[in-house]
Amino acid sequence: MSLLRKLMVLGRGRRGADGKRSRRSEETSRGSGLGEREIPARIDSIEAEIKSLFGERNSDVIMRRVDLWTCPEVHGLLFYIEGLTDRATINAFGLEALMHGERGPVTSPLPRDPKLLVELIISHLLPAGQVSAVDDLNKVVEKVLTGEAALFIQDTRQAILFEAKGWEHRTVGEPSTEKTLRGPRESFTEVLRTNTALVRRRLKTPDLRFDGTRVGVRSKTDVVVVYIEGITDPQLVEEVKMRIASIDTDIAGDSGIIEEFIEDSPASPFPQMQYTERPDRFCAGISEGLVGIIVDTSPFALMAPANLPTFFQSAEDFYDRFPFAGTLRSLRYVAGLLALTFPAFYVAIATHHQEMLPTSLALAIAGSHLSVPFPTIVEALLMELALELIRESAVRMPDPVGQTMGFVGALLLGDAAVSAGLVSPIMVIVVAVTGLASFSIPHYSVSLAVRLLRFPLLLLASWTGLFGLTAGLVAIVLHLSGLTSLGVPYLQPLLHTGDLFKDVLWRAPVFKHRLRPGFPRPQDRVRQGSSNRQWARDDQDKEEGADGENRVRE
Amino acid sequence: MTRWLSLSCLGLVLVCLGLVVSGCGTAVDMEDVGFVVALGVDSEDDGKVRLWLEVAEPGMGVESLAKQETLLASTEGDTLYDAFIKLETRSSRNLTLGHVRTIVIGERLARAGLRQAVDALMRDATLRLKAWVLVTPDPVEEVLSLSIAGQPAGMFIGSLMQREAQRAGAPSSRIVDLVTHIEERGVQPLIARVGLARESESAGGGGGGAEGGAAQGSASGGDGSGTSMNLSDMFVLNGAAVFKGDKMVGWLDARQSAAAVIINSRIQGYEFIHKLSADGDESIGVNLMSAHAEVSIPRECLADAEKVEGCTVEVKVNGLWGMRELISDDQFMTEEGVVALNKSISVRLKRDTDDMLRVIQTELGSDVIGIGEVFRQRMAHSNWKKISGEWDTLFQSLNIKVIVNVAGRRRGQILRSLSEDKAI
Amino acid sequence: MARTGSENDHIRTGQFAVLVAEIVFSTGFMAVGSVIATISESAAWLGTLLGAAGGLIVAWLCGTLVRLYPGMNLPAIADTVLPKALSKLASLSFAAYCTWLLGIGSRQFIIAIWIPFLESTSPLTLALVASAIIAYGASLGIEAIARASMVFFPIALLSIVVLAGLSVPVAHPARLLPIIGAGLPELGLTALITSAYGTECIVGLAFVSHLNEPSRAGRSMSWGVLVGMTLMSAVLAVATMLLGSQGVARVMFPAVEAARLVGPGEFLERSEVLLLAIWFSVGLLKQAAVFHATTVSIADALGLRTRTPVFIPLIVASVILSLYPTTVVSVLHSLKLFQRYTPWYALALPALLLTASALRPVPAEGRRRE
Repeated sequence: MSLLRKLMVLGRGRRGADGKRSRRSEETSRGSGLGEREIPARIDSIEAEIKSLFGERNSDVIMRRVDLWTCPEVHGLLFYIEGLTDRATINAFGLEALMHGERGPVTSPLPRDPKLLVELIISHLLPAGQVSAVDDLNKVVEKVLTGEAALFIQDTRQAILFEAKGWEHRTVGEPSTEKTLRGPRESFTEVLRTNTALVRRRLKTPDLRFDGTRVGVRSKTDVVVVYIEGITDPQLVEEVKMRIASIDTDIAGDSGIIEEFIEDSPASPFPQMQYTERPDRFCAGISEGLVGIIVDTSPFALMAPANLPTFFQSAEDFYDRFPFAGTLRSLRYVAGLLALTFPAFYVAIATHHQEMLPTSLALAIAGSHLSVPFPTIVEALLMELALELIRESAVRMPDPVGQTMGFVGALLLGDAAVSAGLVSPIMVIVVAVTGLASFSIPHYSVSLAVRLLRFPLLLLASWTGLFGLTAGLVAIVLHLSGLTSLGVPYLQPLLHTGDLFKDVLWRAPVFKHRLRPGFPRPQDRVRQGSSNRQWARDDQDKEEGADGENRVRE
Repeated sequence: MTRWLSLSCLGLVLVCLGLVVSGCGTAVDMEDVGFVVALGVDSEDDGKVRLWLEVAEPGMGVESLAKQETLLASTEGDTLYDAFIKLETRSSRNLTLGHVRTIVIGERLARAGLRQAVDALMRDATLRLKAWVLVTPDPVEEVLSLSIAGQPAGMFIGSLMQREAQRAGAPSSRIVDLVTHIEERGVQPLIARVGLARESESAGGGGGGAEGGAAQGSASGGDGSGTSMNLSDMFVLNGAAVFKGDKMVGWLDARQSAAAVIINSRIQGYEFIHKLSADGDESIGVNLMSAHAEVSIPRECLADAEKVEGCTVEVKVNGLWGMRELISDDQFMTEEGVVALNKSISVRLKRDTDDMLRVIQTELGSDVIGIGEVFRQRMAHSNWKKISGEWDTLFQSLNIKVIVNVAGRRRGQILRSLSEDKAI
Repeated sequence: MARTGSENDHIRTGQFAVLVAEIVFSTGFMAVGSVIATISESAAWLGTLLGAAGGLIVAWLCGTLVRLYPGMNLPAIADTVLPKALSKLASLSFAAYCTWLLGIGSRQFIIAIWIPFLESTSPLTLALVASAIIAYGASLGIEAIARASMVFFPIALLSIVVLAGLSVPVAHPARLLPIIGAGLPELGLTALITSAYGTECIVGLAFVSHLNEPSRAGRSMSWGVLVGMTLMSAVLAVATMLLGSQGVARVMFPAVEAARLVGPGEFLERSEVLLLAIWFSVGLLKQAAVFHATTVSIADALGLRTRTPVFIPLIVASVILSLYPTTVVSVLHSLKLFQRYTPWYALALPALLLTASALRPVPAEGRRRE
């Protein structure tokens, strides 16, 4: 941290002493990088300068003096950060090649001209893939911080940078939040390159674009905007790039932070971008014309524009056979509605519209509520609160403990509350059904919104019955109607009645999805040819023809 | 964004304001509701109205489902609502009429007129418009305090009526029908009769026609329960009360009311024993599976209001029946036999219908079968306006010709009855 | 709220049709029966269907206007074709019409919630909740209202179908006879009265500038009127089959009463509560649309640049309007006044504008497309 501050001070110092610039321009300058800085000629002064930048005691900053084995009078300094670099690479390409060569010397003596010397070292001594020569110390520092190694050669005023990235990271594992029974089991990791590779492997088209930029003055997080040239609406891409470029922050450690900076209405409870840790899902989205955002150090990639139906789709929808996948998807909408309204509906009926229930049920509810000291609404709020607590605590626990805790907590708490006469058994059922329903919403962020909105609906329902519930729902739908994601209306797919049963409320067979969805305004709407399953039609025609012939023969 | 934020804040403020103003909502918890499942009304000697409310006690647990506790509260007042207020002030719960399944009206009040009693009920927004209305010749209190197999009277009668809704056992008389028919000139209310089966007396009508054969009609007494039950503790849906406007004018017995119901509506079941011989040795158990009536009115009667008086109206009843029991030597295994059987049953039904017509046309003078409504539907509105005022007298003058034509369709699982002759 | 009902709102023709249908249908249908069943008895439903004619004429006139002056709202059109004073008068009268519609709609709406639905809740509470939602919707702009209507109106439509379907076992179709009811003159009168609801489509003139295809405004408006009036007539027909024409004339809200009589068996036999809840949702959206139209038309008539200054006072006004007149009798009276006078106004306004535009000497910049 201190390093960067120093760098900044240095950079500013170079630009001159006009310290009275406005705050605004100062802030813009923060993102725009640092000025240039010459590399000193002598190794000692290089070392001193680096030390002054990084501080004396940074144990992971390694500076190793080397003398070239071909000509020991040439002194060099190998500079890298331990942990960001791969030790084997450093040893093989850096130390061994420079100090322990087995080939005969190329030219002896080495040229005195620094430029030639550097070229010679690059071409003959450093067997690394990505090598470059740089004469700006700030740039060297920047590169070293991303995992490259630098070799300074005395008197050349240049540094040779070579690729030695190799930090510790998680390997590609199974997705933990979007589990499926069928389908690929890879998930994004925290490493940008791994993630982009995972995407490339699935979309082997040269039109796939990874437009990179950096966000965060201090974190310098790599952010990549992913899209397919020729499909994705360029306006959307520009909009996303513009919004990302406008981020001026210190640290952007996760895609969640980026999301909040660039979404249309941050105050809305509904998410306006989907996030996913599944490369397959990500690629499906990108190929439909969505713009993707992959953030280094975040295993969750973003996709936009999003809309309400996208949050009710699960990755599995396209891996299971369509009759089941479609039905399950419709079920999820029902679950969403249930999770949102069921407790409110119950409270409205139980406190305002008792005549609506069958008599026996009404009497049973009344009987079960006899010993409960609280009004129905308080009872409902208490139980809902308890459910949220259980859920929140279960999330924080390690996996096996969390699951057990969820079940046990719910069971014990419910049972104890009923036998203590604090809540009625029916309320426990209502809350349990609500909880189950909210779990079946595939996207956590929407399930959060539903959980949050349940409470105002409960209050409205207990206040003015079903009218309150209706009013609340109308308000929510109005809000959703006004909501946009990257300027695309949030409810759009729901309003196109033609596509409603293709990929919104239900899923049609894969081969029927001839066109891409229209909401991201893809440049090329045709996704499939019309010749799919032609063989089935041919067979049918043949059979019919044969039948006809048979009939004729008969 | 700021726009909707500020607006939602505004909404919140409004909501809070509303909460404060209205005194924090009007939610009523379930246990504070008194669920009235049945309502009884009758008039007292001094002209006051007596009201019974059967309030179901909320039950706890599974055992409550088997046995429903109820509380029968009763009081009298100047009007129905007056009595209701008195009961409400004595009740710890908020009485709601939202669960009333049955309304039992005493014969005395029914004869005095229901117009005023019905008013309070119809103004209530929660009342079930589909609640059954029945008239009883027995004391209302006795009817409502009877509980069968743990089921309170209101629920039990409700279930009985529900079962009979599409059949001819009792007219399907809902409160909404009563109210509609009180006002409509062309059709008068026909309300089911509920009585208590007494061991000593055979169940019969109090008024008009308690004639022979009434015993067959009490079909719905207590079937469905396998255990032996004291018949005296049974409800009997038997016959119907005939109204003229809001006033009851007399009874129809079971056979007559069934005939009226068949003309009134499409039915899907009517069981009776039909005697094949005069001495009563041979009989057939008949289930009229479906039947409906068509009324045809000559053109000239419809075109000219003057000609309605004495007009000949044809009522054609068609139906299908099934054989449920056959006590006879003749097994009717020939085409001719079946035709003869059809004819015999048709004749019986026609006799019932004629009997019913005689009672409602000459004795009671009330068009419960809705011939007037058919006139209204088919004639010009101006013509109907001329005659609607005096429809009751015109109805009496009508010459109603009944043609019954039923056909046998089902014989049951066996083709022949068991034979004494083992050599078969 | 600064950027009120954003200028960039775009509504598609389908959405416009749904909006118009919603405006025509949503609050009127509950109470319309009791007034007209006394006149044409069993033919009240037919009269309602015929009443669509008035709405269709207005829709045709409006469509022609919009085709002549695409991208303009009513005040702008009036400014173009009429002399200044007259155009102000036209805009102001339109604003007054919208306000009246808002008031009478809110009052009926609140009564419909209060009397059959939530007896013990204070009407002020209901008015506050309803107004909050309405104002919120109106503040989001007509596009959001149109989209939300696309969600709720099909549900309401479905609810009417369900109502009709469930009524089959208890309905007496013969009660609709005789077809022409009390006679042809009465039928005509009924059609005239109910055309007040059909002609409510003129409110659409406040949104036409947002249409993406102005040339099809007339057609989608006609569709809206047709659908709305057909639904209204269907509800009335179901109510008549269930209650008889005298029954319809007797009750305050025949639609509610009809809903009380139907139910899917013993379980959930009181489905009227659910049906009402669905009907309230479209009612709220209709009120939001009318509220939006009112704010826009008042702001335009007064020459204000935004509708913000109108907004808050109108929220207060709508709360007050939904509480008065206090007695049901006077509500019915004001409803009768509405039914008697507004169809003529709705016919006269576009007719006047069209005549004026035809008489205008030189086609100025207003006549862009011919």
